[in-house]
Amino acid sequence: MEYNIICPYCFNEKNGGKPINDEQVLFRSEKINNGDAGLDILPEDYDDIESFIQRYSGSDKEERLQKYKDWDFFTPKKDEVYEEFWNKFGGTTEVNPLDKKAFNVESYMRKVIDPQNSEHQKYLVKQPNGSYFIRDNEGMVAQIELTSGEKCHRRVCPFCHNPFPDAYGKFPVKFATVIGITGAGKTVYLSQLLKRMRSYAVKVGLDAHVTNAGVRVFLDNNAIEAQKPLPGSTPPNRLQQPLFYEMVKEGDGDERYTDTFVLYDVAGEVFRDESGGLVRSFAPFVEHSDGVIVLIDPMQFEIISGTSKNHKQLDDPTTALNTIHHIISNGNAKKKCDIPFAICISKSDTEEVQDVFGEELCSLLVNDVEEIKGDDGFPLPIFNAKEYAPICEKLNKFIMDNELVLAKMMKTNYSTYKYFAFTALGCDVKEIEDEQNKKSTCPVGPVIPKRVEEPLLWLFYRLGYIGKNAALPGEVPCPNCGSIKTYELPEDEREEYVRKGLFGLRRMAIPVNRYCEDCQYKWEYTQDQ
Amino acid sequence: MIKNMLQCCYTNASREEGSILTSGWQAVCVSPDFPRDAFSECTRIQNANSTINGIMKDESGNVLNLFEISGDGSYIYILRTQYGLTDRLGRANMFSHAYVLPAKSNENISDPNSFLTIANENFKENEEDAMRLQENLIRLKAFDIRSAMEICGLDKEKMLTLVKSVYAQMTDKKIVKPLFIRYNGDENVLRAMLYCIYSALPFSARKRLSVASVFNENTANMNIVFSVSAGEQEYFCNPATGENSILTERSERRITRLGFLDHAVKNIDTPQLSEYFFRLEEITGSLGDPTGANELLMKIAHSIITTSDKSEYDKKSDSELDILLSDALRSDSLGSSLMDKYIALLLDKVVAKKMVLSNENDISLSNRVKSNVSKELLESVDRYRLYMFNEMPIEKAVIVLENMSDNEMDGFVKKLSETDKGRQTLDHYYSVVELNKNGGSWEGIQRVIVRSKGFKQKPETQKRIIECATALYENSLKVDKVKQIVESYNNYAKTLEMLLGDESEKYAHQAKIDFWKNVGYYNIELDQRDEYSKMYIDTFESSKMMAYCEISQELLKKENFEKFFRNFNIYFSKVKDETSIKVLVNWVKTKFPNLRKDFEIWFEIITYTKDKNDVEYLLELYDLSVIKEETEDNERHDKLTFESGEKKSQLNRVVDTFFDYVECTRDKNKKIIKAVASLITAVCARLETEEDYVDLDTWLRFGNYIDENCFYIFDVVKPIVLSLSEQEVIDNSTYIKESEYIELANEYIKDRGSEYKTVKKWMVYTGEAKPGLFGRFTKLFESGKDQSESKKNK
Repeated sequence: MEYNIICPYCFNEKNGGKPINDEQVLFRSEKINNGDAGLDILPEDYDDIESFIQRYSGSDKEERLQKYKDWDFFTPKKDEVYEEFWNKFGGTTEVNPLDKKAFNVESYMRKVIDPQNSEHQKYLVKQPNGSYFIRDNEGMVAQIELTSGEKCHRRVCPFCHNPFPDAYGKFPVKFATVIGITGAGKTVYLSQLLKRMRSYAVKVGLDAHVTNAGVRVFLDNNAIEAQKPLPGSTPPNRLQQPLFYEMVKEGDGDERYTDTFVLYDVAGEVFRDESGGLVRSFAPFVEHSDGVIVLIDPMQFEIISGTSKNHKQLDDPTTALNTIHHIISNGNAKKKCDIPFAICISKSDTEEVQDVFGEELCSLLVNDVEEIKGDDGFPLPIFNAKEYAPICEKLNKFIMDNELVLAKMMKTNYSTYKYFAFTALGCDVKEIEDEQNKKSTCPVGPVIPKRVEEPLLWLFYRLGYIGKNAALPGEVPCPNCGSIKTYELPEDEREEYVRKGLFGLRRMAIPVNRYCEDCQYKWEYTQDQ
Repeated sequence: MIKNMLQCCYTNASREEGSILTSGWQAVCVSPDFPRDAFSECTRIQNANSTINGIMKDESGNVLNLFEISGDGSYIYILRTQYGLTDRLGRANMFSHAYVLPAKSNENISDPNSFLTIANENFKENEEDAMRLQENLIRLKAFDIRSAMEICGLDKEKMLTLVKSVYAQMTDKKIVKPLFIRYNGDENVLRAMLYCIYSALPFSARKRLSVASVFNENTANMNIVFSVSAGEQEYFCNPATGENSILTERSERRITRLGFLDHAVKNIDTPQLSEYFFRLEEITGSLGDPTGANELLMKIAHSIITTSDKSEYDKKSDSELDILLSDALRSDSLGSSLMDKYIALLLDKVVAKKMVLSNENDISLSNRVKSNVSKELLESVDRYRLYMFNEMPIEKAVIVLENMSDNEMDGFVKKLSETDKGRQTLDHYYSVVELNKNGGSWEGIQRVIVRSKGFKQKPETQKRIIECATALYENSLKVDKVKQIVESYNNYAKTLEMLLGDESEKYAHQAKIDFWKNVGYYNIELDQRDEYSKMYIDTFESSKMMAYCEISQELLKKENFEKFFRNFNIYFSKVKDETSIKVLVNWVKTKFPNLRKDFEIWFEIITYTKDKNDVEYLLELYDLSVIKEETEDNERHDKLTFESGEKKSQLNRVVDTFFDYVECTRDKNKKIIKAVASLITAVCARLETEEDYVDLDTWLRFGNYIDENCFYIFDVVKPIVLSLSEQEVIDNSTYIKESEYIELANEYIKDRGSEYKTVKKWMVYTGEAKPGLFGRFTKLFESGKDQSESKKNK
């Protein structure tokens, strides 16, 4: 079986965006030659290899030179291909603590071995099947073996030399991007979400496995704890490492289904200026997304900032959303974007927000997301749409009443979007001063996030990982096939002609107002339905 | 505005535009007219500090106020970054203030005090304070080297270790982590230590060094980081003790051999050191690197500066000299007159010390000389080469010659040819290397002759040139057409003349003999007479083949077959080689594909006709017989027709000539006569017309030469006479009435010859035979018809 792989870093841009097969991957070497030992191959009088080549005339020159080359092959070096990719983002963010500690090497400085390269092949063991690849139980290329015995399993993209997590490419891959409009609390949100990812996934009958070091590094760097300063804001030009999960769902009997879910963390400032260089660098991550979570600071709404003490409203969120739409639509202005967009209002528990949301909505938001349990007591793979529906309706109304520009922009540009609200801290924050009078802000505690998982679970539902237990507001399922990809017909298309009568001789116009994209069925939808 | 200094602040700032608040990481408070490249690099360094993980503290547990110095080759950036701030949302923030010193001119950096004494008070710690950029710099007390070393507790030896450690980190490609320098946490000590380091580094290194006062993820790419607990790091140096984990024996040796660091530390307390660094940079630039950063060129520059007395090179060991020259030759610096001068000097020393360059060095030297180098170096290289040629075995010397450029070689040949060894080498070089390379073409051989003209005694080369030329010519004889062979001969003759002058004639003559030996009937190209004539020599073979060639010339020029046959007849009567006939026939057939088929028969007849008169007749007959085909040629036709003043048809002339020939020939070879008769009858049958036809008696005369029964001629040809009325035929014939012919006619009728009915009609008409049943009936019918017609007429 052939596995097709799209690199989660460069999206195979140098290959015209076409997937590669598993035999095209390269490997990072497990063997490392550290230090100056290679130079000991040269006689004492020679400071470097260039000097040796130039001056040495002993009969063993070729032999020594080959020995040096063999040694040098495995010395950690800067990888130009890798550097070229990361230079766009102000340097790499890849960290592998184990490599650093145990092998005293940065992972990205390990020699990249190309099994197709004849020069490299002399360091590789040919396998009994005649190739240099070792495949896993399911036939995917997983390793190569060095002649010195080491098995190299760290696969990298042939175009940008970024690492693929184990088994990446074996299962269907979905990409999602979290974009935080400046100050929306994206880092806090992601930290809380990732910390509890497994338990959130279990709520909808999924098992989530982390498959790279990115999640651990992110959580280490951005821990949220009571009485501890909140993490700093994300530098906009830095690309954080993608966060990889394997989402496993139980099937009938012995079956299980696995999907790879990749989450990107992108700063909202990137999209402030559509013509800026940062947009160009980050655009591919949005373009390739199967779902987007956009976080908005409530202070970006005039109704909320107006009630705050300093009365300052933040940058309008529609600026960034417009830029994002332009990237996603790829210049196709005629069609709405159908990528699911979760528009999330963060800090839902702050006083200013509570004042304008009203008691009813606030009481709904204060509850945790409830799972739907099956007869055996385990949560079912179902998004609790029944519980979310009233929140959704009220948030819709809030936006319509107070942020008509945003509401209209979303309706005009996006066909699949929902509003959410959550609090990632669930507690107040306070400013503290240390002994040197330096100020910082800390959660008062206890930290109890509320409904941070809801937008993600809705995305899971939209990506097909799970189902739902009721129709969602704004969703009109097709009475013919059940698909929710249905649209309102324009005024001039609201008549459907049908043949009636004994022999179908009579042609009758019947009123219709909706259309199903999946089965092309047209029908008349009324609010009662 | 501070003279020579730019400023830029960077933070996660909030901006109010009307009632809208925008925020994000950005540069704030920037000096006017900030150069774009400097601004871009400055904000890049500042942005690299914007990742804030947890509480950013220094090693003492204080909120971090990071001190950094960074150079990009053009500017030096001196920064302080204050952490422990919060943005409008209460999140962790930092504020970075950078002073930027242009470093393109070395004046600004020659004294490290210019950037090391900027007091901390000059650095703003928040956006509010930075609203007004510093207009005057508050300076700390300037360091001098003695006080700085004292503050750091350094003597020259420890200082050298410190500086070497820093340099090793900066230049070893395999070291990608910072060097941690131990200090006591006092920033004054840190600055003093930096003063020592900067003072001992060449300008180019000063411009690229990056320093941080504290290690964190953001400073992981710095060259050096100061730390109170540096010893725990992979690469560290404790200046106080000299202990370090970065210098290996080899790297220390390498740096020592560079020279400039040891020199700097040795002279650190002398006023001349600054001048030394200026010169080092200047000379490195003159050697080919305008940035002054090329380590190899710096090493050479140092050598040039410190070895002002050329005689000092005499004191250097062979190995030292070899290293110096090797460094100079492997540097990519081309077009530098200073480098040329330096190499020339070293080469002369190599010669004086009777040293030999390694192959790689020799190749580098040859490659260098191929480009535009100074006359001084060329002369030096010549001296080295001459010395080498006299020292080394010929085979080795030849390899050196092989690596020379044409220009170099041309100049060198003359000098080399002045000595016996040189001449032997050159002879070996041309005879083996050059001729192996060029001996396969005339141009190549001639080039070798021209290039080797500079020296006379070259027996090997001369012998090999003759061999190569002869081989080329002989190969041409085997495979080429005559035109190419003649060309090849000309080249051969010209080449040998170039080599031997008048002595070449005997070779040229022999070449022609060989040529004719190679020419035979089977390979002669008959339409290339002119080419063959160029190769003519007075030998039987040459004359014979030239004559053979001549035969065809009339045919080629005017298609005069008569002359052709005549010439051939003469030739054949002398040579008597049947192959020549076959070849000639085939040649004519190929050359004149539209020629009538009976040409071959004529050819054979004429060839085997011994009598000269016969040949004349036959040729005339041939000429007459082909004239019909050439009616276009009116002149010839008229000439033939009115030749004798008597108007005679061509047909009559053919017939008459034939019978004259038969009558006159002494050659009683009936076969030939029969053949001629056969041809002539066929010709006559073609030539005759209703008005001018051949009568029955003439046909019967022809028939007598073809068959025993002359009537059988009508089985071969179908002349007009067969279709004429019996009356017209018989009335004009005398033979048909003679008993001898009557008998032959009856026999022909009896044997059912193909025209027996016509002959029988003739016989019936003469009354020598009775008509058959059908004949009688026809006769009756025709007489009845005549009667009725006469009645009608009446």
